[in-house]
Amino acid sequence: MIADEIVLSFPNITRVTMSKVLEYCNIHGAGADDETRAFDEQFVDVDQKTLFDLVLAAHDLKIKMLYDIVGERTGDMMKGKTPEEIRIIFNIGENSCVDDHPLQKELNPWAFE
Amino acid sequence: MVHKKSSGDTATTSASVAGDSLLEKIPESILNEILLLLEPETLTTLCSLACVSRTLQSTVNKALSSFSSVDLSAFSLDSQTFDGVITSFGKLKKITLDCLRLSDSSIRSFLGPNIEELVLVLTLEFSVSIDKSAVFDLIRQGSLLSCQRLESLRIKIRGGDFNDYGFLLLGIYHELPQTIKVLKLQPASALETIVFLKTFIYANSLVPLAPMTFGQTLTHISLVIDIISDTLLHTIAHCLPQLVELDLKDRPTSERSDDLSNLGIQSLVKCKHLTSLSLMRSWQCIASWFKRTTDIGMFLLSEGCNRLESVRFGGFSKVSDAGFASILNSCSNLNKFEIKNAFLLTDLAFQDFSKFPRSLVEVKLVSCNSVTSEAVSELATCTSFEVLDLFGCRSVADSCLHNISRLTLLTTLNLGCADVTDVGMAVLGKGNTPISCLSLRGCRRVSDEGIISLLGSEGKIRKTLSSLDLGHMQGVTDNAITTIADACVGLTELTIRNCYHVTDASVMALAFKGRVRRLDLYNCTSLSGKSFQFLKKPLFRGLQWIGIGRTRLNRIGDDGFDEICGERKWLTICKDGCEVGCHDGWQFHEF
Repeated sequence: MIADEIVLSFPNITRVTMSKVLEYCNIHGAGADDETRAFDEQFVDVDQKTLFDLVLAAHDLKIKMLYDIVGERTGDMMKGKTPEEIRIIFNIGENSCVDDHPLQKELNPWAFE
Repeated sequence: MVHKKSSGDTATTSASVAGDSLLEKIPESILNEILLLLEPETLTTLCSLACVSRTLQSTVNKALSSFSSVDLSAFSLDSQTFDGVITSFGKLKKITLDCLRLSDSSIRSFLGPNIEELVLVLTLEFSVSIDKSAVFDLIRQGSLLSCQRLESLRIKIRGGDFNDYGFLLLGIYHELPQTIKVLKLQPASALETIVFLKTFIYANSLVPLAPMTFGQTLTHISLVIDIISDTLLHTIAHCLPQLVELDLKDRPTSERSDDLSNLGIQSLVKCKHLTSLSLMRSWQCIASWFKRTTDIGMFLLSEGCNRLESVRFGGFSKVSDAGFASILNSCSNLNKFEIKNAFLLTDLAFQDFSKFPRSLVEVKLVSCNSVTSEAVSELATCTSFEVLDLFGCRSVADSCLHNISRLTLLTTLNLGCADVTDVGMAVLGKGNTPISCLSLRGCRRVSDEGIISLLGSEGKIRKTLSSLDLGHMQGVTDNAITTIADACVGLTELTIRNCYHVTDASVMALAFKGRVRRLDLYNCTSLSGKSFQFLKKPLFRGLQWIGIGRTRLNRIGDDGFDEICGERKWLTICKDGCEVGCHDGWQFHEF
C-alpha cells in the first residue's frame, strides 16, 4: 500500500529561506559538536534580509535552536549601540526628533556620547 | 543633543520613513524574545531603540509593559527618578534594585501581591546614614508580609565592615511571608538564625495542627554570617531537612570554640535533597581557618550527600587530598567544584579524574599552591568546562595550556599568579577556546610578546574577549595595550592596575577606539596629567567607570574633575583603588 503524498505548504517562507532552514536542520541532525559550532558561525553571517527571514521562519516552524542563534545574532546587532548607529545599521529613516523617553534619559544617557 | 535636519533631503527621508526598515516590521512578540536574549543589556538596548523612531518607541513601550521582571541594580536611583521609570513597566513579578536612596512610597509602590521575587541591594555610601534607609522601616512595619506570593527574597548590604552593619537585618525572620522558598541575606546573625529555627520550625513540627509559619517551604538558604558553627549547621539540617541549597560565608575575626568541625559537616547528611553546598571562610586579619574539620568529615559528607551538584569549600586547611577526592569521585552529578585556600590539596586528588565520565562545568582551585600543571592537564581532559579559575596556583605552568586550549566551551579562564610564560600564551592564542573573560593578573613571566601572540588573528580569543585583567604585570607596555585596543573588538572591561610601564600612549589608543566601558588604571605610575585630556568627550565613548587612584591624573584640580563630571554625568571616577565597578566591597568609598 502506497501512502499518499503529504504536501506541506508554508506561504510565508520563500524557497531560499526554506532551503537554508533545511540545511541547518540537516547539519544539526547529528547533535552539536565543534563542526556544527563552526557551521553556525558562518551560517548567521548573512545580510539583514536573509537574517530576518530566518528569524520569522524559525519562529513559525518552531525550531528553537535555529531561532535562538539567529535571534541572538539580531540582538547583537542592536546591543550597545546608540540610536543613531541603530538607524544606520537597520536603515531607518529619521522620522522623529529624539524624544525624551523617560527610561532613556534616566538610565542610558551614555548612549548619546 | 542636536539632530541636523537637512531640508534638501526631505524627499529621500520621507521615502524611507514609510517603514521599509526590516527591524520595524518584525512582529512585537519576536522582538520581545530577542531582547530578552540580550540580558543583562536588555534595558540599555531598549533605551536606545526607544529613541530611534516612533514605530520602535511604541514597540518598546509595549515591550516594557509586558515585562514581568526588571533589573535596575546597576543604577543607584533616587526616588523621583525611580517613580518616573517604574511607570513604564507593567505588573512586575521580579525586581532587582538598589534601594538605598528610595523613599517609603517608592518602595511600597511595587511591594504587593504580584511580587514573586525581590532582590534588594543597598550599596553603602560613606555619607548616607544607613539605618535611616526606608527599607528597614518598611521591613519592620510588616510590608513584606503583604507580599503573599513572595517566593524569593534577597537582601544584600554591600560595602563596609561586617562589624559595623552586621546588626542591620536583625528581626528579619519575623517579617517574612510563609511562601518563601529562597532566602539570601547579607548580613545575617548565626545566633538569631539558630534561635528562630529552633523556636518556630522545630516547635511547629511537634504540633502539626498549629498554623503554618515561615519556613515550611524553604529550600534555598544563603547567608553571609558572623560565624559558621556546628550548632548552626546542626540546627539548619534538623529544622530544614527539605533543603536543596545551603550557602554560608563567614569572615570571623577571632577563633571561636564552637567552630565548624566534623560533627557539623556530618549533620548535613540529614538533608537528603541537598544538591548545592557552599561553606566559605575568607581570610581576615587573623587566619582562622576551619581547623577542626578533617578528611573524616568529608568522607561522611560524600557518603551521605552524593547527589551534590555544586560544591564550594573555602578555608578547609586541614582537609587533604583524600577528603577532596572523595567528594569529587562520589558525587557523580557534580558540575561545579570550588576549593579555596586548601593548603593540603595536591595533584594526587585528581589522579583518577579522567577515568570516570564527568559533567563538570566549573572548577575553581583558588590559592592552592601545591596544585601543578599535571593536575590541571588531567582536569582539562573533561571537555565540558566553561569556567576554569586557577588564581593563586603558583605551581601551574605552561604545560597544561595545551589541554586547556582544546576546551571549546571555555568562556572564563583565570591564570592569575600562575607560572605561565609567553610560550604558553602563544599556545592559548592558537587554540579553540572562546574565552570572554580572561585574567592574567600577576603573571610576571608574560610580556608584550605573549599578549600579542595570544590575540593572534588565527585564534578565537581576539573576537570573543570582553573582559581582560592584566593587573600587576611588569612585562606589559604600550605595545600590548595598543594591540589590545585594535584587536579586541568586543572588549568592554580592562584592568591594568600596577602596570608601571604603561604610559599615556596606551590611554590615548584606548580613548580613540572608544570601546572600553570600565578601565582600571590604579597605580600606573608612568601616566602623566596629559592623559586626563583623553577623558573628555568624544573620546572613550560609553565610559562608565575609571579607576585613577595613585596616578598623576589624581592631581588634576577640582575644576578639571568638575568639567569631566559635568560632561559625563554617569561616569564614576574612583580615586580609592577599588576593583572595577567598586564592587570589592570591603573599603570605605566616598562617592
